[in-house]
Amino acid sequence: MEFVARQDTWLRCFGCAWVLLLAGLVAGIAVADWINAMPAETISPSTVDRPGGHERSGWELFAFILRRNMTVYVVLLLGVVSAGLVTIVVLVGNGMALGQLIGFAGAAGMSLADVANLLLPHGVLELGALCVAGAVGLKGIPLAFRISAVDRQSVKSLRLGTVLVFGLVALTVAAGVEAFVTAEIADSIRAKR
Amino acid sequence: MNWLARLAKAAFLPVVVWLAGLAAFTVLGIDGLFAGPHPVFVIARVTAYATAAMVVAVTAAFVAMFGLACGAMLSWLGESPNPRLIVTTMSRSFWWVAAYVWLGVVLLVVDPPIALTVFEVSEADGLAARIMDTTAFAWMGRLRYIALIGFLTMSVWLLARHTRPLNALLGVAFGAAAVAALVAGLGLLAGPETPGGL
Repeated sequence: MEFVARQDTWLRCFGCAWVLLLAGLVAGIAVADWINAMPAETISPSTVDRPGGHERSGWELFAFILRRNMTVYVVLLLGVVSAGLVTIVVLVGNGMALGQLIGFAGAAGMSLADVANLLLPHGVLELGALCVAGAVGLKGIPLAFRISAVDRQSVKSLRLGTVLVFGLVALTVAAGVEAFVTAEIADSIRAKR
Repeated sequence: MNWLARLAKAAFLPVVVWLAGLAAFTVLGIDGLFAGPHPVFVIARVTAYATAAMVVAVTAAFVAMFGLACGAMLSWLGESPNPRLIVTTMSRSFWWVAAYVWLGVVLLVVDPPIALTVFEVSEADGLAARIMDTTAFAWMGRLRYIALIGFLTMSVWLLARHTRPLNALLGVAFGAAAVAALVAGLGLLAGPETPGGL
């Protein structure tokens, strides 16, 4: 039986990618709540030696964010050759990291509106792009089950070139928003507090 | 006894043995280093277990890439490798990696890591210093190239039983180069740890 990626399977994989990300997010919030509920015998932040960082420019931050997100994007695509395993772990892991961030921000007294202001402007595009890569990575599951039927046509149907170009464009815009818009919002929230 | 013989010959057995060893190594290592109810240790344990899951997934992807590149090179050289041959070769070569991980488990049992204190976790070099002080982690670092060489040599040997030996060698060399290029590419893409280092 020939394996060719059809539009309905693309949508199904895209939906699955979002479900995995959201499952990780819920788990991350639960972990943050669990940690926050523990007895607080914490050390004072003043006793911790932190390396002195320098103020970085918006462009430095932009390049840093873009490189990191593109790495995650490419790693998500590796699911194609690992029966979706890498994609599942990375999507759930990123969801958990995001969930923990939201959970700890809430515990630190940050309002839901502030958290939304910090995450939504770049997050919608960034997470959307990562889920597109996730959808491609999850195609590795049916590919693995029909490995003997994989041919040039089935590999072409994954449209890896288009997906990479889309990811580069979407993540560049998202990194721009995060470095220049979200950073401004973060500064205004910090000034308010 | 027949089923036991079949199990011993099963292609997936080395992968299962590797996964079991990695699970034991992860539990012994992480729970040994980050022992205690303090939230810092809980966060460290959760992060370390997530990293271990990531290691399993990325290893699977890299081995698959290696196998694909091997197969592509063998096809280009005029051989006719089938997916079963590649999967079986990769899987059976994993005995080396499985043995390497179980050696680490034995070393962890013989000389367990001393748990970090909260202050050591807070220090930048605390974890690195403790890892270097633990026999298992230090020896795992030293022996990783032996496991890698064993894995590659066994891949050549297993492929050479179905293809010409020189072609098998070239296929494995190309596979190793492809994975090394992928790892280097991802490292370059990710860049330095801090944004100031650009």
